[in-house]
Amino acid sequence: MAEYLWLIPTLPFIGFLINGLGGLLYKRITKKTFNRYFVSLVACGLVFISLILSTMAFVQLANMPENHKYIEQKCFNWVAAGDITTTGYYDRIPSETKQFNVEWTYFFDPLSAVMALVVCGVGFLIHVFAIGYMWDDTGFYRFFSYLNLFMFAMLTLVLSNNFIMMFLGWEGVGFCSYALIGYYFHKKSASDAGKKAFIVNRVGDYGFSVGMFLLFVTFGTFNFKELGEIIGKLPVEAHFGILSAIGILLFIGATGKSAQIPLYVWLPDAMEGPTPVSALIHAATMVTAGVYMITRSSFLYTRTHLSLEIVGFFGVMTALYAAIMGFFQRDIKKVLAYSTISQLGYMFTALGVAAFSAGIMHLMTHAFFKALLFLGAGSIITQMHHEQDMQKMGNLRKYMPITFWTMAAAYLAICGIPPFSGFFSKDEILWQAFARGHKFFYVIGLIAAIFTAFYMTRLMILTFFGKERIDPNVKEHLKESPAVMTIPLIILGILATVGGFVGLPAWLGENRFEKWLEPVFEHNYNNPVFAMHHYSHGFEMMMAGVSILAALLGFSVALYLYGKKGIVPDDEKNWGKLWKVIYNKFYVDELYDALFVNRAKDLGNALSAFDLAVIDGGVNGTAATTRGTATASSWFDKYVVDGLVNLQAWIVQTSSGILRRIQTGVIHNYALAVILGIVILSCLYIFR
Amino acid sequence: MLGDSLKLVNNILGIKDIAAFSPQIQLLIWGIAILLLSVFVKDKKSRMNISFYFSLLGVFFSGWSYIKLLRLEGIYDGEGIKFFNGIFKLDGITIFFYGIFLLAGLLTILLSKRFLEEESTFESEYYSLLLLSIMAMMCMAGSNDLIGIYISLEFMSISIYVLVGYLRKQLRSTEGAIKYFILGAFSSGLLLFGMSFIYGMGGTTNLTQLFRILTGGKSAISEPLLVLSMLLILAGMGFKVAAVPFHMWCPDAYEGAPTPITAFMSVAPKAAGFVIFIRLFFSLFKTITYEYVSVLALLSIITMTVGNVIAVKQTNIKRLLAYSSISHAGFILMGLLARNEFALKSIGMYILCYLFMNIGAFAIVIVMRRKNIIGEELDDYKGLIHTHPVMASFMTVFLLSLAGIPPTAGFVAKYFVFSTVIKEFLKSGDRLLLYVAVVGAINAVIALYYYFRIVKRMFMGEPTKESEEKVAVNFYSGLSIGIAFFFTLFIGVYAEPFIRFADLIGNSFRSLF
Repeated sequence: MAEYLWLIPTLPFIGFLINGLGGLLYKRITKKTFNRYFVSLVACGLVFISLILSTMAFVQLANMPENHKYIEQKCFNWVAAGDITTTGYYDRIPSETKQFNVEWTYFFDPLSAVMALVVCGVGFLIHVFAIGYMWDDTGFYRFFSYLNLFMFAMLTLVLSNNFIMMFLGWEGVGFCSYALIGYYFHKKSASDAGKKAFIVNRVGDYGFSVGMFLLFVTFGTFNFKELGEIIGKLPVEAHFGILSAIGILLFIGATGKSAQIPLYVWLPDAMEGPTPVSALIHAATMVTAGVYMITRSSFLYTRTHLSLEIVGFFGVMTALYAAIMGFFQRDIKKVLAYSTISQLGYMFTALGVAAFSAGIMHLMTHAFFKALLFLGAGSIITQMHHEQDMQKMGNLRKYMPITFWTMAAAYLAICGIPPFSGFFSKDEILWQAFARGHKFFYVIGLIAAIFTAFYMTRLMILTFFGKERIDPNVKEHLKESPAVMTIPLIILGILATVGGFVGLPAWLGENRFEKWLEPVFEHNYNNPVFAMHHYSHGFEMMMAGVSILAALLGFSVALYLYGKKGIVPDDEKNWGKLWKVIYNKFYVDELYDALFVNRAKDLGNALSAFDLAVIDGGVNGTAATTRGTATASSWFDKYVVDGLVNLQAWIVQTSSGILRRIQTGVIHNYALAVILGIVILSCLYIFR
Repeated sequence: MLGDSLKLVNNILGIKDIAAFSPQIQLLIWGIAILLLSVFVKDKKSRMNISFYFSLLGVFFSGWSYIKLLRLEGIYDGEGIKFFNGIFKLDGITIFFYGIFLLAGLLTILLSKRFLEEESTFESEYYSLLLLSIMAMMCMAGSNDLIGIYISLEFMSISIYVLVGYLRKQLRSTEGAIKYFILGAFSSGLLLFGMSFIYGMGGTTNLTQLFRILTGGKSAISEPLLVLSMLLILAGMGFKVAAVPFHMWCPDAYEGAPTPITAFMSVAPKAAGFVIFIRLFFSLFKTITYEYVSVLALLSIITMTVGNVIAVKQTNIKRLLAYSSISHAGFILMGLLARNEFALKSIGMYILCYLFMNIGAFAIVIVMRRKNIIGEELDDYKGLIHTHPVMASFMTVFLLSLAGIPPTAGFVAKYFVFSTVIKEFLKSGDRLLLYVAVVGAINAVIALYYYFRIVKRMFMGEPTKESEEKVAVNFYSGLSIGIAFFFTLFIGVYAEPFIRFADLIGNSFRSLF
């Protein structure tokens, strides 16, 4: 049964080995880089096979009975390190000694299935797009090997059955993200952005790992299924307790990876990477790892009110805050980056109101439309000779019709216009927040939706409409991108349009998506606190209308401000101080610099001074001592031992002329040492 | 006629006894075949090649019989199987060490070809003696009788004395061999002396019976006499594993011996010595456990420290590795400080890891031998990363492993011996064990220093003109280095199957009594 499960992550890894190691060796030996056709065939082909295998596994899973809807494939015992005693902090879980055993097991349940399909599907399309985008780059094979390694890590993350294996994937995607942001490493801003992403993520990972360890010492296992069974039987924690602590710590990890307040700062800078990377890693897949992780630990979060509230609050605040920061950005990718942060905020809002399936559905639709927006932007950027400033675009729809129409579909999706996919998922989140009694989240979410429509409309107008502000040199060659880039755009366009129909709201029909995910959350349904209020279908329909109106409001404001013919509005002049604050991202980077980065540098300088003075002194002292001892011992060897030897030899020579020169004396000495050893050891026994 | 004589042998010994010896018999046959060859094949070059392939075949067939042996029933439970009227025993310990010796032999043979071509001296005895010494060690691992132990020990030693002096035109080779031989004879005397006391008390040479008599609480057994015999046996075996102060021969012999033999000596005879330690100390000296543990703890501390401190000043890499192997013996001795399954397992694990990393490091030294450079001085490694990046990175991994840095095998090995000592300390509260662990930790730091002196030279030094000469790695030495490298890393990353293998020896703790 599904013995091929392990192949899904392994195939991209093989691709990494072929392109990465093979490419490196090939370059070393022949001084030439791999053939580009070969590289693309390996990289995309293997991901495509992974996609097919995931689909097969998905079909198999769909045919399984409701009460046993998962496939498990154990590959080997990964870490088996003796007995570990759990603490027994938690009064319901007694202290016990368990075998510490982490398996390498692939786990395929409805949630993993959705994630694997999204990762493989969107990942494959972006791989294909990247062939066109990166064609002229000298590090072609390097780029694809990283991309494949990323696919391996991400698939390991979503197909793991325990936290440790997930953490491996978690760190793996983090590494790939670092390597790919700094892909143009000769550019200082790119390598700086890579480092920033890595370090900020490290802060989150610290929380994540501490949470993980706390989980282990309390419950004695890392396995999701076992944890679900243990924790699912516990009552809901009323006040702050061990479960809340774990929940909050894990969420800190999620804020790092999924770019939420307060650790979002790395994502806008991450746009220094090549655009396919932004699409794959920083929009569609990696950044959603936090959402996936919290959904995967839903058994824990539904048992602690406090951490759920925190998740929801930070989520909705990020949704609003990031949307505001997207207002006046000039760089097209920066706008999309803030939009990603904002949309991730929506997903966390959904998790915060325990509407996990709504969160995952938005994750999926977002993967479609945001990947599409980024790829569209990438298509524009290549044709504009790497110009990203929207002030220098305008009226592009004339030159790039396919890019325009596909991006328009994504635009309508993200604004939440029916029947595009984003409408269903975003509206579901807002509705669930409202129906579960979180009115505050609902209002903030709605405001964020207005803002979303505003900045997205601004983006579309500045790029595709209005006056042409294109550099004349660029304009000469301006044309639609090649088919290898537009075909992925078209496929994603279709997905962004119809992707929402898998989860229709109750007033339109059945929510198949929610039903599909139901077995994942079996531990949550006995939990009364998350019951929904009952409203009539008519009311729900009306609320959907309100969402659409919000989108239209944002649209009209943007149209009013930017839609005037032949004028390029100067945001700086029109908005004054407000522009300055928003354009500079509320000075948060500067704040972090002042609070943490510079203080860390100060600390580093102080430590380095300390290091130079004290530690190095100590080390040198130790080295000197060791060397001194060795010198002494070799001196001893040379003068005392050899001296003794010579003395002995001299004694032997003089005392017995007959035995002269038969023995070298050195051997004598050796044998003497043996005898002395025995004598001393026996003395120790006698006089002990 | 052959059939008749076989039948006769069967009637006397039983087919099972022959089966138990089949790996040794294979080695014997091929070893003698190589010797006979030198009479018939006159051409030196082809003799060299044929001997090489024959010895590979010998190890291969011996390994085959070994694998067949693994499936023999009754090895792994309780007492193991006894053969030849109880002289020889097949249990988990025997099986484990068979594997170690065969692996060490295989890697050494693979390394020898290029070395011998480079030195351009060849006598057929080389491979023959190598096979015979492996065979002797295998007999040693399975001996359940004082006489059996002694005879196989001498067999092994004599083969290796000759191998050390193999480069007889070089002064230092001869010198090393003579020193080794004289002192070896001396230590054998001490060993026999100790054994004779035991025989005097027990009236038998069979270990199983001796155990029953010595631990039976009879008044005839005098404790001081037992301690004395323990000390004498310790001296004899301490010599074989090169524990301080019985180590004096070691640097000279290691430096003088042909490098593949040095690699082999630093692993296989040492492992064989530890088998005897296990067989005698864990069973016969049970009643004086406290005494022997204190003595071994002391020995372990001195061995580690002296080995490491002297290694710091060495400039010849073979001498440096010789002292490092002395200090590793000190670490392995830590595993003898507790009488339980885990301790046994930790010894097995250490030897297994040590096998790959040490032979690996020596293998690099061997391939560094080039026309104009002997490649034994530390300065020959200057800037190796620029001239031979692959060699340099392999060497770095081996050195890291020897220093015990994760994720390499050396770390796993050290982890096991240290946890043996710490666990025993927590159980018995014997402070001495804690000191051993602390000294061990300090020694790990000192060791790091001198291993990194090599690494520093490789990475930071400027290559000299001569050292830019290409290193020609032939297929066999490459294979050997590859195997060592692979396992050094693999054990570090995924130790599970190897721990399972070392469980073989841990689980036969019971069979010692």
